[in-house]
Amino acid sequence: MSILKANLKHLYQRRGLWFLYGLMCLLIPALTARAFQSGGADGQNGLFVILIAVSNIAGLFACSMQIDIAVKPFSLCLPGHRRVKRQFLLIVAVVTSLLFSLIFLLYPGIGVAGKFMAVTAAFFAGMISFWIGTLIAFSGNASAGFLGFYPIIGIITSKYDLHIALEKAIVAEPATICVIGLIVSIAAWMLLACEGWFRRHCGAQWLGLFDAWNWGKIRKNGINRVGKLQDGILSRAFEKVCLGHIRNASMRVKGYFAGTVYTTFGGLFCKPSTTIASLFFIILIVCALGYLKNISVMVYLVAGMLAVNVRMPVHSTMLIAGGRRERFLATCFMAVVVTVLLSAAGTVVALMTWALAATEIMGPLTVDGSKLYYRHVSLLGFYIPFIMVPVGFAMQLIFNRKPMPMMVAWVMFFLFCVIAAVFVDVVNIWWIGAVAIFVAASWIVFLAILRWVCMTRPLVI
Amino acid sequence: MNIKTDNEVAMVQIRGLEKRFGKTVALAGVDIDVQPGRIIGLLGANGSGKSTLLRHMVGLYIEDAGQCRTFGTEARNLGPDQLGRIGYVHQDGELLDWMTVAQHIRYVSAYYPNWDKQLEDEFIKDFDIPLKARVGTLSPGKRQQLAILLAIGFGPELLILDEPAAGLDPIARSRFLDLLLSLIQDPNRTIIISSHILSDVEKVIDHAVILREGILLRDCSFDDLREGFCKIRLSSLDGDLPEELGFEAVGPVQRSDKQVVLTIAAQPAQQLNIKAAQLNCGIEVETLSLDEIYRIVVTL
Repeated sequence: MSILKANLKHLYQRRGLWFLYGLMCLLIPALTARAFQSGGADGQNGLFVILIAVSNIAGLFACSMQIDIAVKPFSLCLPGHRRVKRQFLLIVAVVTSLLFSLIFLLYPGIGVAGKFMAVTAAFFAGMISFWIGTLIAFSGNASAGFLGFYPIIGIITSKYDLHIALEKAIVAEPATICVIGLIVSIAAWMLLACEGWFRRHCGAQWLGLFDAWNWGKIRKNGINRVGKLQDGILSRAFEKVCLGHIRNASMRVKGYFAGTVYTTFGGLFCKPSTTIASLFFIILIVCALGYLKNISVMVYLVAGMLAVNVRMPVHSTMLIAGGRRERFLATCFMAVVVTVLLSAAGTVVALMTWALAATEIMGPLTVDGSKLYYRHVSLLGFYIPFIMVPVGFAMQLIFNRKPMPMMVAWVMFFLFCVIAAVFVDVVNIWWIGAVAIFVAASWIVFLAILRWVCMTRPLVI
Repeated sequence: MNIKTDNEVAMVQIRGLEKRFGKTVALAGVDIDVQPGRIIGLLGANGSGKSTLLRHMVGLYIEDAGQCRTFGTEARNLGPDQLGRIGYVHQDGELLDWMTVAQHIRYVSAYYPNWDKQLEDEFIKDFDIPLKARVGTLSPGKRQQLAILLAIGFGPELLILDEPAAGLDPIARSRFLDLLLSLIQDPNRTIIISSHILSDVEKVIDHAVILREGILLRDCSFDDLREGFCKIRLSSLDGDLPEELGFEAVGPVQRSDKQVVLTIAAQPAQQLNIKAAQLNCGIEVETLSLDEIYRIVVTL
């Protein structure tokens, strides 16, 4: 078997991709039908180029798969393996772009020759989109993180009607698109001949697209990041305060509380390199939230998602002399602190949307013909983290060391909440009794599970 | 270990301890008493139940049956008072990765008013521990060294070391053994050390506990264990050795026409000399290394 064939086998051997294929099988016919239906007589609604955008994701996935292979030090050293990577990418690029460009055969209002030209131009536009996807994959060490930016790119594209402009260009200026696509493809082909693209990933830390389930890889990736941490005035002050409380605690359990706060949040105070990126991310969230109508309560819902990743002191090591009772109490305390902080953080973000809405900077957005107006996020959702965080913690306890089932369970729960938020205006059913029941129920469930784990289960990490 | 005098109260008392993980029997009715001032080597192959046993002692696991008491308290109910007397080094050396080494030491030492700063300084110097490095970036060996420092820094009465030398290079291992030897100068300190590297362990232990598939095979003083077996070399004084030697070998036998080396259950020297004389052979008796004894015990 040739190396190329062996590499292409990854396309059906990786089970994670089957999920993607399944999603595409549902999405592509739906998008095609929608584009054809709403295109009307003259087209130009921008929906025909959506599949070209999918080429971008295909590029990200295909390149990530090749990097997955390159990170294994032996693979890059095997004869012929370096050359085959660009061949693999080219084959996937051509096949996906060709498939997705065929939608232009349905484009209304142009003759056979025009359709042929449009398909050719769409093919090259797909190629460009694919190569941009590969570039994104090369630009970091955790490609899965880039998936989160697609909704933001979608909003920007929609706001400035970039999709309509591209669709027009494909139909009206196919020759130009073809020439640009050809130049970009040749440049990408030549650039990929340079071994350095893959070599720099050889043996390096890399979190692939399907590694979110891999506990070991997530841990290794985390270790890679801690090497870049730096201490500053804030982190030193925080340490001083917490250690002071531990040393001078009148009751021993107070010392554990201080220690839990320190070990949980201390790392956040020594990340100056990510501060700017975090601020940028928050601004993007604030800008996007206002257009999401009922779903804008996601800012509160996401608190639970964060809770899943906060490490509880239940399975802590034997570094400190805390028994099962102390672990239980310290975790209860930490859960309350985390919930209050996440609720406060959600409220602050909501307040920012109020400020932004007041300035009227954010104009209306047209998506699929309908206008979306920027609206502030209700402050009444502050109670949502008080429900979500205990649920997130409870899941963490139930699925200890089983990140895949935990993530699946959590995503399903999260989606359920988001869908519920679409149909029920959760912040406007503000009835203190209902809220109190939900909050109490989630805390009772969490505390019961926590007690069960702390008192009867193995506490080894 | 299970011979108690009146003034000795067991630090850890285990009776009929059973633990299962699904269908796997990790511990099958183990009985052990850990007396103060002992250095106990816990020996066994991978999966023999060593770590499981140690984790029961500190209350990380809860027994399916039987009893495990540490400092007179049910291990599952151990509180800060008892756990503050136990130093424990994990097999995996789980630490807080985001902290620097110095921060980590400060954090753990904050819990212990009796933290030994002098020991800390000496340890850091001897083992060349990088204080400014983030714990997550340390090599496995350095992580293990840090874990050891954090476990011994507060002068625990009971020090439990689960494969402490596994990640250490030969020089660090040698230094670690020196450190153990200095730690055992305190007569009130008890150390339980589980290890695969038997040649290291045998330099420091005075008791041995051997486990196989969750079953306790031996629980005795190291001297008793050593005296239980010996290696004899019989050399024919005239002609070839007879076919039947009259010794029951418990280990591998190396035989040539005129000489045989075999491992046997120990017998009085006089008895051995008489037998050798009857066979018209010269006899040399050698003691066995822990490694050799271990192999015999687990295969018997």
